[in-house]
Amino acid sequence: MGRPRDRQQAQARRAREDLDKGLKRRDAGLAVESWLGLPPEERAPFFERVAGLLREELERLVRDRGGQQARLLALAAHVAAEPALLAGRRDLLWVLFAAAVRARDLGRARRLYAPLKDEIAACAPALHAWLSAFLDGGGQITPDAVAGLPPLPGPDPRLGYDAARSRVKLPAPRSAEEVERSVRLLFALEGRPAALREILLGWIQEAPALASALARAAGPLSTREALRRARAGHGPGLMLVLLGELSRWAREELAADVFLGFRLASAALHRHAADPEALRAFASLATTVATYPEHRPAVVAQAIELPVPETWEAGLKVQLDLYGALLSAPGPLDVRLWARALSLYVRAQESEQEVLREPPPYLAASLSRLLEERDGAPLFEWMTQDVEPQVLSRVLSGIGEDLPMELGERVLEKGFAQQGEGVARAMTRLLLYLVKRRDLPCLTREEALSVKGATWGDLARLLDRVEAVGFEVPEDLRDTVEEADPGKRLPQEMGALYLMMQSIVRGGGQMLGRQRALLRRFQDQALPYSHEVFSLACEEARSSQEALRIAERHLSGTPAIEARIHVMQALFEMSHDAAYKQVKDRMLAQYQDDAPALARALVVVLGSEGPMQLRRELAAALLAADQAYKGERDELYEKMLRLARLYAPRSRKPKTPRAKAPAKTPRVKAPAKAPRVKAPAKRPKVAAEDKAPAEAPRAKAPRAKASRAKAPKAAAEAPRGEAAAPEQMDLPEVRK
Amino acid sequence: VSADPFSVLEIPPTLDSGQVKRAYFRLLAKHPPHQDPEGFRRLRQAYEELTRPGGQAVAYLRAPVDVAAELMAYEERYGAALAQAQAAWQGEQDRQRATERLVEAVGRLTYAEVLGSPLKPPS
Repeated sequence: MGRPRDRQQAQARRAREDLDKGLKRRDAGLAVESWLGLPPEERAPFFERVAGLLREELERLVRDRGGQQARLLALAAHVAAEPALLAGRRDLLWVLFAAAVRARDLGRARRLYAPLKDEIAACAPALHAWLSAFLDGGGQITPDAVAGLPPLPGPDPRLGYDAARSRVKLPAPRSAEEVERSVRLLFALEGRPAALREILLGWIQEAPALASALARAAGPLSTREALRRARAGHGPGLMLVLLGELSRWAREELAADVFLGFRLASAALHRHAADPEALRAFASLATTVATYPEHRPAVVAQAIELPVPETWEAGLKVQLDLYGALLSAPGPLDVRLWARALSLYVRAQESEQEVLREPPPYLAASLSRLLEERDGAPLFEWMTQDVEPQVLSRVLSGIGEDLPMELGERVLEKGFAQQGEGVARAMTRLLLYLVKRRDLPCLTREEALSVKGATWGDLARLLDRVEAVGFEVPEDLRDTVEEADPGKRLPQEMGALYLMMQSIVRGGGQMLGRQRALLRRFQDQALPYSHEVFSLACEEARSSQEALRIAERHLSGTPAIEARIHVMQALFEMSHDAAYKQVKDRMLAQYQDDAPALARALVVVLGSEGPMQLRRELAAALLAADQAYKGERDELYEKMLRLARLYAPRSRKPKTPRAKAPAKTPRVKAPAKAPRVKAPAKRPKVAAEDKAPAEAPRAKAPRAKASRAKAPKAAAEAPRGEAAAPEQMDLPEVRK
Repeated sequence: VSADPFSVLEIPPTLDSGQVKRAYFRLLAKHPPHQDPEGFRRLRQAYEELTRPGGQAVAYLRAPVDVAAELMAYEERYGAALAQAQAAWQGEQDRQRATERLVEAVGRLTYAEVLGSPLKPPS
């Protein structure tokens, strides 16, 4: 056999080889396929053998009745090409026809049905009618036709048929023309809001080009469904959420639906304030409604009045996102909305253990915009209006502790430039938040220099001390420090951490350079309103003269004698002796005739660990003033008088001269004896590294930076102008 | 003034300022100030609330929803179309189920059963 000359010959040769193989192996599929591959003139000799093999195979398949659909379909394809292979065996032809029908292979089914048609039409005209309708109707029959079919027994699992699916799967629209029909069908059939929303949004995701058409078709139907649910007493929330989402793609077309939906959501929220779904619906629609300038104020007003959700999951996040959307939208900014958003953020951080790492950027951006508007006048007007104290506190702490430092500085700048005590007091509180915040990551040059030279070993020792004062050091930080070379210099980026650890060890009160600068810049405006600012400024004062100036500035705003006592105590503790003496002398001169005021001052002094000398001098001044005092004497006054007699220095009785001869040199008069009272409290102890030697004279003692932390609580926390009741004081002498 | 000025004017909540004006003048004839000063005062306050800048929008968004009336309006617009779509879908489902039944029958009948099939012709 020579080399084939063309392709057809090669195919014929291969077909012959395969046919031979198929017949030998009794593989009906291979035999029939290769037989059909032969040129027509070569088929005849093999016809009988191939047809016999095919019949045997089909009989076996019918007998087994297994899941042989694929095999039957393959054979059906061959027999459809050459029906003569099964001539005279209509029963087997029917089997192949049934396989083609199941596979909806209508072309082959028609060819296979042709030899059966007449016989079936004669014997089973009903079935013939149905089959003809099926084959001619593109694989479908009318529901009317099926009415005549008798009930069939349950399916035989061996046949491998799938049971009909109970869940209807709706086809996604593929063109704009199909959108309306598909959407209507979806709303007509799918009663579950969650599934409905998921399907619809899935369609939009699959075909973004149809999003607008889908939104236009689905928007009103969402509103209708929401109304139906509201009427039935179910929550319309999810359908309204969907409406809000759809309005992104068809804002104008859905305006009427969105307004109605918003009213519905608002009503639902008033009925079920704690329902997160109602809040989501409100937020979703409010964002769209607010894009209409004429409706924005109404939306903002309602958004401000929303009840505060308890937790992050219950809606804090949704509400914050809504405020973010409203604040980020173009248009006039409502200071109440911004304040509400910031207050909510601070509250979320308090209650949810810092659920957000950083404040949302719109808070800072909006504050910046507010400051640009008439120099921040709306913001400062809001602060002096009838604002809830808690809200104002949260807003001030938010600006001071969470928003960028520069922004806080700008608020101070513009706030202190405003007229009015209310704003100045608020700015003073803000200043305190700013100088006490501890999250500043960047070091100023001054601070960088203070860290320069510190080593990993220093940091390790510092961490030991941090743990010793009761703070927990994170394990990874401890590992990093222990793995480092103790003698190696600390890198610059560890500087902030080093300073922070240092401040913890020292009582957490150390300010960074930037904060010191801020305090120096604004302290003059803030001093009249806060004793804490006075204490901080006093600690930072470089000389007693500066401390005196600071004290005078502070007392200009708080002229009560009690405030003077607190100031003197602070000056005394910080070793600003000259300033202390001047304030004291001025006070004694000013109040020398005001016995009740001196009595009040004595209450304050005795209630705290003030200097002993001050007690004595006050007591003496009170006794002196009392001689000319004609006013009312209440119980407290009388009590103070009794105490004053105990504390005041007594003049000694002149001794009777002895009979002895007078001394040659005149005697110096001995100082008056101290009254027999409890020893005066020592000056508060300071941190070990800053402590002055006990023996050292006061004037030479280094300034005690940490002394503020050690100041008696009663004095530090007593409200301005209010003295602690003597009953609460620890005065053993009084009890005697 | 009632929480809802639209109800004072006896109109449904609307953003149409012409409708507000017409309702006001219609009711003004019923409550003239010299005969019904209290009625007039309420009417006037509601009208002023709605006609001040932005007032109508605020009142509209705050107005309660008459769910039954609104639902009726939506049903009129979409109810029939949805019912039609549902019916069409149901027909399609019936058709598919019928076809499935036929196909199943074809697959389960032997040729001998086909020829002796007791099935009656469709009506």
